[in-house]
Amino acid sequence: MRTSKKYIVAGLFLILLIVLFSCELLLGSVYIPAQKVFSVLTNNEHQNEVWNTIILQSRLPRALGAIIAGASLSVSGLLMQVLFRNPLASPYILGISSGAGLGVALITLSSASIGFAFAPNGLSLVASAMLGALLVFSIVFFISLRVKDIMTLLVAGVLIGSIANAIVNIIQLHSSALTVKTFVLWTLASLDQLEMADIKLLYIICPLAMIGSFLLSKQLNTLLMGEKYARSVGVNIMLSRILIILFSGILAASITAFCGPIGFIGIMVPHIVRIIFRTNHHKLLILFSVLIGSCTLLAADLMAHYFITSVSLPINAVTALIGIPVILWLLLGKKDISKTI
Amino acid sequence: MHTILEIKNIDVSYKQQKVLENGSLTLKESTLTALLGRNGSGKSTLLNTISGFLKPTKGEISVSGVNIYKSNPATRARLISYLESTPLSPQNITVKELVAFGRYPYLNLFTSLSEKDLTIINFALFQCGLSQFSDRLFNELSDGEKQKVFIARAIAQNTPLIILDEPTSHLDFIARRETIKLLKTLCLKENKTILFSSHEPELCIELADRFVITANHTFSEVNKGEVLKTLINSY
Repeated sequence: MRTSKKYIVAGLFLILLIVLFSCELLLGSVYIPAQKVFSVLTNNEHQNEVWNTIILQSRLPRALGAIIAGASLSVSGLLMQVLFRNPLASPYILGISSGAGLGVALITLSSASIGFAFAPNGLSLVASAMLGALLVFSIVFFISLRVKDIMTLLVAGVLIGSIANAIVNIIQLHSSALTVKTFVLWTLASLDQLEMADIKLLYIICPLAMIGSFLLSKQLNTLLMGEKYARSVGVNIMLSRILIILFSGILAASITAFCGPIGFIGIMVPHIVRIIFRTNHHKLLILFSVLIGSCTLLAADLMAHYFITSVSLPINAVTALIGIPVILWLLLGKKDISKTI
Repeated sequence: MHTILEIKNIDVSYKQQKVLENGSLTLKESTLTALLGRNGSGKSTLLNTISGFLKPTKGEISVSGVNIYKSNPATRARLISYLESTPLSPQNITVKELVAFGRYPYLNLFTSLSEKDLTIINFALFQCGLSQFSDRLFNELSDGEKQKVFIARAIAQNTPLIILDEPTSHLDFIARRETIKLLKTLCLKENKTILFSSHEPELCIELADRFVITANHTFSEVNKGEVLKTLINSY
């Protein structure tokens, strides 16, 4: 695809992003006219408190959350796929979601079984998920400082993730049905519980990590030719690897802590970007992943809420049910998945 | 003529085992040097050591007068270009984009190519007879053409010394000759110093200027007339 054509397609996705974002704000069980939504957003109207609350505390954080989560997970997955040269690598390949899961399991399940006088709320869930993710992430990070071979790190990441899962299983077996349900609900992931304070935090952390990743484009490009080649053109492999893991980990951990382990986006979007734009320059891949990742998660969230009007669906089920046929269709039309990296 | 590569009494160990001992070699500008020897005799180890991947336990290596183990990776990347025996071939990348990788040691963070970079890339493509391939997808090329693209990338890197680890190993009979002939042309026209390893003494004797043989835990230069004899004795 020629460069100019790439930007035209990117422009179309930008329009799609705006349309989807508007849908998130306009649609809902309570009908609010478009111009009222607009005036609430621009602070012109304060008469209708209910509308204010619905838009500013429910629809807007969800829409903004879908954008940042979609973008972050896509960039995070892209980084992991390049680092491990593996088309199946996801933001969670180094055990971050398992770590977050362990944190949540400890707080929801053990608080009840130990008789801890403490009911898990939104904040404690986020904090425990964050702590769990950071715990696993730091272990993997320190391993990455010691191992020379990148595949050893991949195996170590998967193994540590499995340990976290094993502990979760033990806790689950000894918990009540109700607390197990709380945990299972967390694993389904959702954007509904996001509040504006969460959004503000995510919009500070995630863009910083994305800019960091963008500045690594040069190193990421050379890694496509293999670590040895990258070294021969003067790239510091250890430093690049550490930064890639750090940025990818920050993105995945912060989104997982606030939204739960949203699946498939991180694997799927980088492939969609490569197939559509047919480039392997990471300056473009990162930009387009941000754009298409945001669109994908917005679309998935809209479908989760409005595909069947009376019932909302878990977002992970939607990303899997809709996303996987899409990527299969793209792949069957083009080439096999290993050939897109 | 300038001395490009100077190796002084190096010892190299790999995984605590001594592979090469007390080897020395001096290569001048515009020479095509073939490195021959049995599998496991230390050819790749020597090339890795010269390229800066494996530090010698003793001795010194300098390229254009710069001690490569006392200089930083960025400086090294402007002195030596290295081509692996089985390089990875990325997808969705055109021939020109791949050759542009050769300019990486000279680019800023955003990897934007200047007019000068583009001129060098086009010249490298021309040198390797790839001008009409420049917008083709790299992976649609034959192995012989791919090898030329990798050589063009090394030319774009614009280093006095080019190291190639078995550049002809996956190629057919004709492509092997073409590859070595291309290297020879680069030595003559662009004053490059090229060192490559090979398992084809006949081809090397015909085209290379100088010959280094790895055997018995060391390496040394031999005359053209003694290449086959020395190799057979080492086998």
